[in-house]
Amino acid sequence: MKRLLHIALKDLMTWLRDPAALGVMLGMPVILILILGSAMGGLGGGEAGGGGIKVAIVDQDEPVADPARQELALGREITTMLVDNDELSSLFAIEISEDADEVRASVERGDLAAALIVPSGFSRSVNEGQPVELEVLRDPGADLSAGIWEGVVRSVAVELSRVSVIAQTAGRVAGEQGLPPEAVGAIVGKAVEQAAASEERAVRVEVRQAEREGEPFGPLDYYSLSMTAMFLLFGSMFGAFSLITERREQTMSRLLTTPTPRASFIGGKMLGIFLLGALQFGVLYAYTSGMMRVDWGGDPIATLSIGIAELAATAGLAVLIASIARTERGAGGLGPLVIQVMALLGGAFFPLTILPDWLQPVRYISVVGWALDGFQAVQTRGAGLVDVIPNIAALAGFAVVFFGIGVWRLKDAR
Amino acid sequence: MSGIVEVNGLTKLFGDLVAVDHVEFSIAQGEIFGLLGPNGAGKTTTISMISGLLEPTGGDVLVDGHSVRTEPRAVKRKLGVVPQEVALYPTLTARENLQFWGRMYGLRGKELSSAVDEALELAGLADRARERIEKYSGGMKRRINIAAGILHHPKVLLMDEPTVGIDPQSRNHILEQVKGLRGSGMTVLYTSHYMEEVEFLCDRVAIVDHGKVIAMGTLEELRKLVGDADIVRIGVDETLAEESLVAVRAVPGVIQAERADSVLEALAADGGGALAGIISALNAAGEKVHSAEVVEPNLESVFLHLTGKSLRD
Repeated sequence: MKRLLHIALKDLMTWLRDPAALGVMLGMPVILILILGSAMGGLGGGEAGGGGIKVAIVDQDEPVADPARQELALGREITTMLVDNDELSSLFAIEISEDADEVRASVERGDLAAALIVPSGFSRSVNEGQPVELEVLRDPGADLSAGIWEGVVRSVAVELSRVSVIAQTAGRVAGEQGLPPEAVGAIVGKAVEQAAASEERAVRVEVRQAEREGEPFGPLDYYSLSMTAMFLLFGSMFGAFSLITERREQTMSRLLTTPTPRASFIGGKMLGIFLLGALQFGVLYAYTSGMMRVDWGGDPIATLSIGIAELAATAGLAVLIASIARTERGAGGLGPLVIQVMALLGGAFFPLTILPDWLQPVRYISVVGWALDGFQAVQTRGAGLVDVIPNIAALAGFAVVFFGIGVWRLKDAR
Repeated sequence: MSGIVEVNGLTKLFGDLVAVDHVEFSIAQGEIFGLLGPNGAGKTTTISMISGLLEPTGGDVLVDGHSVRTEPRAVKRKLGVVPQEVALYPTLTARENLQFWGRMYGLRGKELSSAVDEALELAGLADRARERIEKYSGGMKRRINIAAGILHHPKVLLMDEPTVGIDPQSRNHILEQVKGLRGSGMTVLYTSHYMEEVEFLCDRVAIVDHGKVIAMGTLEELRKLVGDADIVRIGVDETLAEESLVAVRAVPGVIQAERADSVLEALAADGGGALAGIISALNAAGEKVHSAEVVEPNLESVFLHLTGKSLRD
């Protein structure tokens, strides 16, 4: 066991003296977080692009009879207005639901960026000129998308407020004066003018952040997590380099002529990768949370557990890459390729919600996907250790599979 | 009495290739034993099996009574290994390298510290112990490579061609270093294709070719295999024709003749007497003679006598 530890510490010392390794493991993620966090300001976590920002409308309103307009069903009108608008339909993927609780839960999970709930009695209140609220739910992890939806709903509310004022004014004047219908048009015109000048809003919008209070999350928060999830995986490349170099320079053969068991050698190499990654994780966590004020969420134990599980997968991937590549040059090609593909599929470069629904599960074939999903759950949805156990288990599964295949392929290596 | 190393019927096959073929020898405690043979003779494969790095296809090795097949870790605790390549970590200092290898052999604390100091002194590099290995010359790396194999005072030291590719000064230092181990009671198995090294160091020698031991004994015993024959060494062009070689073999008194690179070596009963005939034969064949010397019987002549070829082949 002591030999295992000494092998790991030797590797750690070697990497800490290698400027290239330090640059890739620490310098690059910090720079990319800054660049992506600034340049990709148009995107945030849990949001959508090409397939439409995922939002939902729950219409709980009941139509009311109105002598002048026959029937007033503002909830239905709002829904139609939003769904049938060509510009809006290219931006949003709108789901119509009757279950407000389910929609709230979807927003809390981050499955929906935002939602609009038209409350019961909405039409009646507007018709009577009573103050009334439209409820907008926002996923704090999808700040920008939710903000766009909120803006759209606010503009609808402004229009409805005007309608409300107009209806009240016209109805009141017509009723009081007993004027003929042609005179009502003039009165309505006056009412519209009054409505436009009015500072008051009959229909207000109440915004609720799902399960979280305080500052909303932005791109910097997202990319701090995603780049950390991606660059932790880069440890596998340096681990593979190290294993291959030990074979090429015959230090591995020499080690195996000492009383050091093969298992201690492989274990020591994996522990070295793990320690390097733990150091990297600690530095990135401290830097992003301390210097960039990134909020990693309220459960550091859950975040740490996800990180540890990802590092285990990273160490396993190192053995697998070393068993396939055989040369440093090969590992230098294969390692970054595997890592970049995993990062892409896992949503490290852009939120996967921009992809069509059927394509989004690709994250689950990626180590980065599972890690990022877990980090985000803690950050934006208040998840705790129990909630991220599936992520930890999946990452541990990757570790076992990678390590198993790698060791099997390396069983005769000297 | 059995030796501290007993090699019995050791065999290794790589597919159809027989790399080591029923090799047998015994090394006594404190002896420096040489394995002499050309490149590809099976020396490294033999050492790899003794050190537990390769599993034998057949046979066994006992080190201090422990079988490498059934008790490999017990065997490894008795051994120190100096590989043919410099197997060190270039970005670590000499001291850090030695500390690491010492730990791999189970040394800790003060025992490790004093062993490292001693090994650095032995290598003559105590004053440069804080420098990274990558800044060392080839010869200095070789010396640390050896120091890493002996710092834990193994009962048996396996050295696989430890002087390949280094300058004469470092080579002499290493040979003196190895010879000095005799006084410590360490048993050494030394492989080389340099006849001079084996003659300088070894008490007994096994000559190997094509995976087999073709002769074994003390230097005196091996020399007797060729009687009083001498080696006549002629400097020639590398383009020497096969017909010229046949002409040399036909010279009276010449037992065998082979060319390796630009050296023609002939085994002759009376070297001095055959020299003139050999030069005449080469001149008659239109070959240039660049140098000529007669060498007393040595392991080279033994190898030439036994295999019909030079050690340099």
